Formats: sequence, C-alpha cells, structure tokens
Amino acid sequence: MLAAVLAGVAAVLVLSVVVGMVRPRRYATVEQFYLAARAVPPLRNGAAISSEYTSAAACLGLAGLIATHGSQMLWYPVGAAAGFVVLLALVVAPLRRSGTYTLSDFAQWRFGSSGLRRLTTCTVLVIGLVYLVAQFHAAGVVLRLLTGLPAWGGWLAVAVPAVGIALAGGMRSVTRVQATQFWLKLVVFTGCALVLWCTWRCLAAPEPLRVAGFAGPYEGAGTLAGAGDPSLPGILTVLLACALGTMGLPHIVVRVYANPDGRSARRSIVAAQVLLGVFFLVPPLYGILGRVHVPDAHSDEVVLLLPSMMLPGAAGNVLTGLLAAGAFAAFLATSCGVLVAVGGAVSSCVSRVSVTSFRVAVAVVAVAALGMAALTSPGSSVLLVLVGFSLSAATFCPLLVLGIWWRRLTAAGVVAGFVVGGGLTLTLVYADLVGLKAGLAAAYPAAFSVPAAFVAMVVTSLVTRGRVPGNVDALMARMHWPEDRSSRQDARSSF
Amino acid sequence: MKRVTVERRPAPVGRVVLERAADPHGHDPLSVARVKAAQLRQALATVAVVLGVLVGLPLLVAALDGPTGWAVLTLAAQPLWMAIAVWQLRRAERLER
Repeated sequence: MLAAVLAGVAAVLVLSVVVGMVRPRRYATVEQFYLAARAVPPLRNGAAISSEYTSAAACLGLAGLIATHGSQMLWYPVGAAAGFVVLLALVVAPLRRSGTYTLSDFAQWRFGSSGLRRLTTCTVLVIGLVYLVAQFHAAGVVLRLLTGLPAWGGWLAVAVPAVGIALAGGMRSVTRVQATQFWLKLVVFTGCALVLWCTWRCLAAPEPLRVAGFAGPYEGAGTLAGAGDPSLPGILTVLLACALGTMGLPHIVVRVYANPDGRSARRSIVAAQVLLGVFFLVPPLYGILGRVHVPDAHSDEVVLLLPSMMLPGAAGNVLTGLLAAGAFAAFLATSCGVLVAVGGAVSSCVSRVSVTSFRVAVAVVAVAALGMAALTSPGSSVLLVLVGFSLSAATFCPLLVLGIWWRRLTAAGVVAGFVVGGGLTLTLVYADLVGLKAGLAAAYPAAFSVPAAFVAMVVTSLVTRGRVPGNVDALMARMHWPEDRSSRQDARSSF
Repeated sequence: MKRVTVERRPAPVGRVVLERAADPHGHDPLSVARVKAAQLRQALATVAVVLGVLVGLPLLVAALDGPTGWAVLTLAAQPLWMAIAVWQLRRAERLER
C-alpha cells in the first residue's frame, strides 16, 4: 500500500507543478500578472472555482463527519452547494463589473477608505489562515495514516508545491492547475465511491440500507461552535453559515476576476454549481460506507481507510493510492487558491503593489499557516472550515450584499458591522474552545452574529448618513450597468 | 451604442439619481436605477427560494419524524440547486437585454 500511496501523491505533485509551469510567463507588472487570467473560458473557470471549493473538508471531512456524527450531517453537502446560488444571485456580476480584484480592493473602491481596506485585509487573512491550517492538518493526518511519516511531512508536501505554483505563474497557471485537479478529484472520488458501493451492495453479504438507523452521533463526537451539532437548530445554523458565507471566501471571490465581464462571471458560477452538484453526491456514499465499515476512526481518515477494509489485497491498495492522490489534489488546489488570494490582499495593503511584494506576502502567509499548524492539534477539517464560513457570513456577506445593492452604506457602518459580526463570532468560537459556557449563542454563533452584523451596518450607516461617498452613483452605475451597453470610454469617464 | 452619463452630485440623501440614457436608436431608455431594481427583485426572489428550501426541508423531515427515504431528499437537493442557478442566470441575462 505504501508504494501505491507514495506513487499517487508524487504523481499529483508532479502533475500540478508541470501543468503550472507549462509556458511560464514573465509578468512585468501586477496588472499583467492578474490580467493574464482574463481569457479563461467559463467552464474552465467553473472547474477551477469548484476545485478551490472542494478542499480537504469537502473531499474527506464531510464523508467522515457523516460517518462519525450521524445521518443529520447529510444536510451539510446540501448547504455547501447552496452558497453558490446566493453568490450567483446577489454578488457575482456586480462584483466583476466593479473591476476590483480582492475583497480589500472592493472595500477601498466602494468607500475610498484605506482604514477599511486594512480591516478587511485582516479578516481575509484570518479566514485564509483557518482554511490553510485545515488543509495542512488534513494532509498531515492522511500522510501519517497511510505511510507512517510524521505529520509535518504532510504539511510540507502541500505547502511547498502550493507556494511554488503560486509564485511561479500567477493567475493563469493557477487556474489551469486547479481545473486539472478538479477533473482528477471528480473522476477519482466518484469512481472509487462507485467501486466500493458496488462491492458493498453486490459482493459482500447484502444488508439492508439502514440510513435512518444511524441517526445519532458516536459517543464523544466533537463539535466546534455549533458545527457538528446534530440537533435541528444546529443544522439550520450551519446551513445559514454555508449559504451566506460562501460569497465571502477570499479564494472564491478572486476567481470571479478571471472572467472578462459580468455575464461570463455568472456563467462560470453556474458551471461551478453544476460540477459541485455532481461532486457533492459522493460524500454521502462514503459516509454511509464509513459508518458500516470503519467505526471509530478520525473523521478525516474514514475515506482513506475504506478501500483496505473492504477490498484486501492489490485492488484495495490501488484504490487507496488513487484516493490519496485525489486527497492531495484537494489540499493543493485549496492551499494554492487561498495563498494567491490572501497574498494579493496582504501585499497590496502593506506596500506599493508589485510582483515582488505579492511573492513575499505569499511566502509569509504560508510560513504563518505552517506555524499555526504546528501550534494546534488536528481536529475535523469540516469543523474548522465552518468557523471560516461563520466568520465570512458575519462580515463579508453584509459588506458585499449591502455594498452592492444599498447606496447609503457608509464606511463607518461597515466598520461597525465587522466589529460586531466578526468580534461576536470570534468571541463565541473562542469561548467554545476554552470551554466557557456562553449559553445558546455559543452553540449557534452564526444565527446571532449574522443578523447582528447586518443590523449594526444598517443602523450605523443611517446615523452617519452624511458620509455616503460622493461618487456613489457612479459606483452603482459601474456595478449594475451591463458592459456591452456602455463604451469603454463611458466607464472610464464616470470616475 | 448607448451613452451613459453619470452625474456627480453632492450625495442626495434618500433619493435615487436616475441616469438618463441618451438613446440615438429610439429604444426604450434603460436607466441604472431601473436595471438595478429589477435585478435586485430577481436576486431576492432567488435567495428567498434558496432559504425556503434550506430551512424548509430539514423542518419538513423533522416534522415527518423520520421516514427512511429522507436521506434521498438530501441528494435530490443538488439537482434542485442547479435548476435554481440556471433559472437565475436566464432571468438575470434577460433583464440586461
């Protein structure tokens, strides 16, 4: 099995680096670096978006959570895909038409405030680090399980190639790497799921499908600030966080910029929705198989333990190797996307924009994430990622929705919303981590912090109504007017 | 080609400024405020449907008290999201024509 696993992981790493390095380009300016991605067609960009979204949490964690926490977790894939419909309806086309690259750029463009830019960059950094740490820990868990190597080997096996791809090529090569990795993940995870499912239903003693019978979680199945809670309010809170949090994930929003106009950006999101809809049919299959065959495993290990438990011998080894390759494609895709997005936001905030500062920022963010991985112990990747969703839903969701559709939003309102929503979420998660009893709010943080953030933004904006940006009508026209209806000159002259 | 002229005014509070689209071809004028309002109505309808499904399905399952087929419902939600996304795309593009 060791040989199959190492071969699978090595193949993915080599494939990613090679695809990323094909026709490397030298970019003189940051604009060229980012604009190189403009020629990406919707289907490929949709595959890249799906690739960034199907991280360790979606590929391994969801299935593991269904196995360890019970059938109520079958709602999580439903919520994970729902966020894209909300993103499509409310955010995508206006955000693309605004012409801003990162969430921080959007905040500065919309409100003309560099203080606000720093605040949003800090939030982007926190969400990005949460995502990176989840990927690194999952990689460590997987590598230790399959090969016996220490966990930090897995962290480095993800961090080093991800930094390399991000530094070498810019947006275009990252897009190509991610689209390739998505197809790999889709084929591997779907194919192995079908083989294992058929093995269980046809070859093994066919037992009745007792899906409804495994309703409860195992003893000691952990929760983190409401995530993993099988009660109805817990499920609804997580679904709300997923639906509203997707739009604020920095690595997803950056992808929108890779399309030439608002219309093709919408089409990319619809393509991603269809691809994700197919992909999210798979975790429930692994979850049910895991519940039957590998009880009491760590939730991120369940998927990779299944082949050797169900098919001893060469077939099991080959499937394990394939799944390990798919898992590393997932770690790499998300890490790469997060590094590019967070690196872009951080570098343009702390210094004059240049390719060098972007590269330094990417390296620093990666090292920070490695440090945080070393200081924490691995939990379930899904629970960690859901903290990122809650934070995003309580900060960037109100910023984007109100900033795009409500012209009276002010910078002071956004700051108030970020402090209330983000502060409340982080406080509740911290209280839950240290075991402080914060009552109902700590059990369902998103249900409290998201409405609170919206209320804080609206009320503060109404109080500071004199500070609505003077050019707000021009900004609204830029976001909502279809590109092909106004000439380039008009779009420019509105500033 | 239509021209959009965007006026700069010192922040008229509570009033939406209509940008007049000068229209050499005699088509009906399309103002930013009107496009935005139409898109917002459509987007809110879509979000309402999504939130309705997202809250309604778990509540329905909980109320029915565990028929064995409910797990299939969670799989059926994925094609539903695709259908809603395609519907939203078509409506949004039509509003921009």
